[in-house]
Amino acid sequence: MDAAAQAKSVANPFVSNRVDSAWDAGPVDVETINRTAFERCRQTIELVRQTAQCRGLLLTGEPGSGKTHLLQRLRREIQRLGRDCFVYVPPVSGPDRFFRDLLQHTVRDLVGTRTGSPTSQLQTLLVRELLAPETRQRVTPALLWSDVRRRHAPGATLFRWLEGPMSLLCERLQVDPETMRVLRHYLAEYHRSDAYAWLLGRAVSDAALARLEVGRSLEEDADAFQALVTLSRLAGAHAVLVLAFDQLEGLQVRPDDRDGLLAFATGIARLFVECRNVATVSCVQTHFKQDLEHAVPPAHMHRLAQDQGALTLLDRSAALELVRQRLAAASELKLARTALGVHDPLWPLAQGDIAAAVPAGGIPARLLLNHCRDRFEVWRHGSTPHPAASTDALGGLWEARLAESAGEAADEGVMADGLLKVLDARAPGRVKRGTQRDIDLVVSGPGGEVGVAICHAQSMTSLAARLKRLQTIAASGKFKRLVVLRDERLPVSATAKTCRERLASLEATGNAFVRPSAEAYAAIAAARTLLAEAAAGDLDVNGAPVAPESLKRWLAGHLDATTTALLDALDAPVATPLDDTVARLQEALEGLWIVPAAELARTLDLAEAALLQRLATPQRLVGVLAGPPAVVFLRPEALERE
Amino acid sequence: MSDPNDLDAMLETALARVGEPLSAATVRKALPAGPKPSVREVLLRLTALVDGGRVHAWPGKSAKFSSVAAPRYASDQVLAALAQGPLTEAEIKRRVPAAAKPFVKTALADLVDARRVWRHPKRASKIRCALTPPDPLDHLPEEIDAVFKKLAKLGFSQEALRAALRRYAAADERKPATAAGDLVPGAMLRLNPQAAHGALVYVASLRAALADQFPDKATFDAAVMALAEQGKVQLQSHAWPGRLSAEERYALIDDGRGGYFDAIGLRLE
Repeated sequence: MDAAAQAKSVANPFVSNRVDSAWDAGPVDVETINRTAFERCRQTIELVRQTAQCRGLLLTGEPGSGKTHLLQRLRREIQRLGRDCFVYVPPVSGPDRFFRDLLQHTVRDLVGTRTGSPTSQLQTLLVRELLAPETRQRVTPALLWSDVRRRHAPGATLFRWLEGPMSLLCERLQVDPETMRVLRHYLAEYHRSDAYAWLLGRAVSDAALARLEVGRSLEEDADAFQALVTLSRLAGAHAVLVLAFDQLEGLQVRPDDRDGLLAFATGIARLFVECRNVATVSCVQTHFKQDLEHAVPPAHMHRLAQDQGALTLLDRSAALELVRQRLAAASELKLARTALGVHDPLWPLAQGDIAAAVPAGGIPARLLLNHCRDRFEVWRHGSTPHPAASTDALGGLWEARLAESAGEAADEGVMADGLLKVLDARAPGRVKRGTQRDIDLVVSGPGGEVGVAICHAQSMTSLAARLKRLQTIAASGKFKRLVVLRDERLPVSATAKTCRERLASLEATGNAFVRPSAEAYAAIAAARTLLAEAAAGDLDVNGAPVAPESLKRWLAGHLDATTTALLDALDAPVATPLDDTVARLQEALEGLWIVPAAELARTLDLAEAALLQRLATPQRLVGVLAGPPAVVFLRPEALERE
Repeated sequence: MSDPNDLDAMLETALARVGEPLSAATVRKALPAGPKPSVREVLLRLTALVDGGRVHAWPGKSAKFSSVAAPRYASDQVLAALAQGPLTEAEIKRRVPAAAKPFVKTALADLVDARRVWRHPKRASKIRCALTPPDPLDHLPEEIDAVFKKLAKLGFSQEALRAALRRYAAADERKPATAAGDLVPGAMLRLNPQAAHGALVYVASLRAALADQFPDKATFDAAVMALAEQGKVQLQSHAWPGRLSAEERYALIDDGRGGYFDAIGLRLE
């Protein structure tokens, strides 16, 4: 095979046209591109360090102009210098889960070992806090941890050894002792998986809480917030915790939805009050800044966008440089150039053609890469490959996202946010976020409102407590019915008698307990990811961006039967009242006003205990006197109705 | 003259009538005819009026009092002098009352800062101040005369040079981009000072801010596109043009690719 033919068999160097996460290894980085925006990031971080005050930087840019790519560069720089910490935050899932989601990303990035470093950022931070400055110069975090682990075996021994230094830190930095204890478990590899789940704010079992010797989980947003503050303080007085928020557009259900944006800005403002070393870098599409300004009070906006910058579209010289560097990274092409005696570094593309593709005002990098990808194909095949029909191409993306979501643990926030968006796609305007505790979504229909509660708690104590609160909500009559969702992979323990009784009671009174399958969860999570990508302009098919509206239409026809059944269970119109117990009670009490519970239960063909359980929550028309013997009576409101 | 209130009123009236700073003895003389308080009593009352902010004491070797503060008095005198035409600082000093002379320099600096007085470019080795900004036309004839003399030595006739000058001036008026080169970045920085660091400004806001300079859509759009061609600005397109109303689209700039530029930024790299 000659050199030219060999060169034509290489992978197209322009196929990779996007960066999905700042933690991706990523393609060639041309540092002269978006140098100004990168400098802006550095300035903001330095200002946080110098003033010991949190700051927000808002970066705007057209889709495909390199926002995530820039965050990737920033992450690499922070890792290289080893001075600050970097956390990448794709869209968080909902207003009432802001801190839990943020904690989850912070823990994954700080506690877990990430690309480009042998130790976690947390280990580096602890080394900095624990070692004297002169020792710090000589010992790398990796070296220190390997030495510590050699001298103190991971497990209970290391856990005991870490107690002294970490207690000192706890006192000096005034941080949450429970979070520090669990971090100690994690570092000592002592009940490590329990510790990791706890730190992620996941629902953990009672047994795990006992093993970690802590009294609570971080499922409540307020607890997650405290843990976040602890992690920020651990970063120390001179290190900046950089929180990089990407695809903020994904916080919206529809273009006019403001709740998610407001919650985001409020959360950031609260974090800025409690911390001294946080720099936020928020990336949005250019037009989206206006939506933010409308949704967020000026004081919050000022914090979020105290510093502002923008991605720069490529001019002709920057475009040529990017193409040159992409081609230079393909070693086979380099060899072919040498063999063929070609000196043009842009070969097999043409400078004139690339320059002509750049309009006045500039071109987003992704558009340029798509153009070059097609030209490269023309060079080697004589024509661009026939593009897949856009629906087929979307199908491919859908399958890829489904595969990514299939292995994920069931997360309440992802499920709630995903259901909100998918239900809204099916029936725009009929679903909203719940505004009261324990209700995640409210679906309205002709028969009334359905309250949806997603209960993934692994601790049966937590689950029982939530079910009790849901019983109270159900009895209040605010919703026509409640739907309690619990992923089928999460069992309700056979010994959790109270949970089972409460679930049975809820079902007996016309509410539903639904167990979505793992497949349905994966579909909802995948749809959520794709919708966020589309909203941020990052979802393209054959080089053209897919609008969220088009994606919603596509999703409506491509969800499997299991997922559709789940959605039907939530937004099917409620035609008849499902809980008629109270109505039957009223009927039985007519003319009697007060009746022993046992007698009434017989009349209604119910067990006395079940009847009393049903009436355990306050009723507007019927009351119970505990007894013994227990008696049921009609309230004056019922008499007035008569 | 036993009632201090009456005396205070008479002292203030006397100072206001004279309008210039006076010593306590001179103020006493300016009081109405009849029995007068002693100089010491006048001095004490004037000092009390100064403390109460009703009379101003002027700085200087001997204590002087006035109904106006020294800087204000000096500013008024400077403005009165300049009302007759542009003057140098020395000329102003000669024209103001003696009491204002020590304060002319400071008053002039304050008036220039407040853009009530303009210092004109040096001409014939003198810098004049005036109540209006300098007019370049005052300076052009001698400069053009010098250029004409230079070009005449190269063989151009006066008529040919004048005709060329007219052609040059007419061509210059047809170049909106030259004006845009200054106007657009200036307006962007006023709308968002962080534009200096690359932050973007919405095209619709910029259009509104420059409505006086570019009253019609086509001129504004052409001026911005010319700046983009020159590599001075970058233009970013709206991600979802389909969501825009006709009115919103009209406020943006057609990007020639089925979309609309909705934001502009200074190109810094």
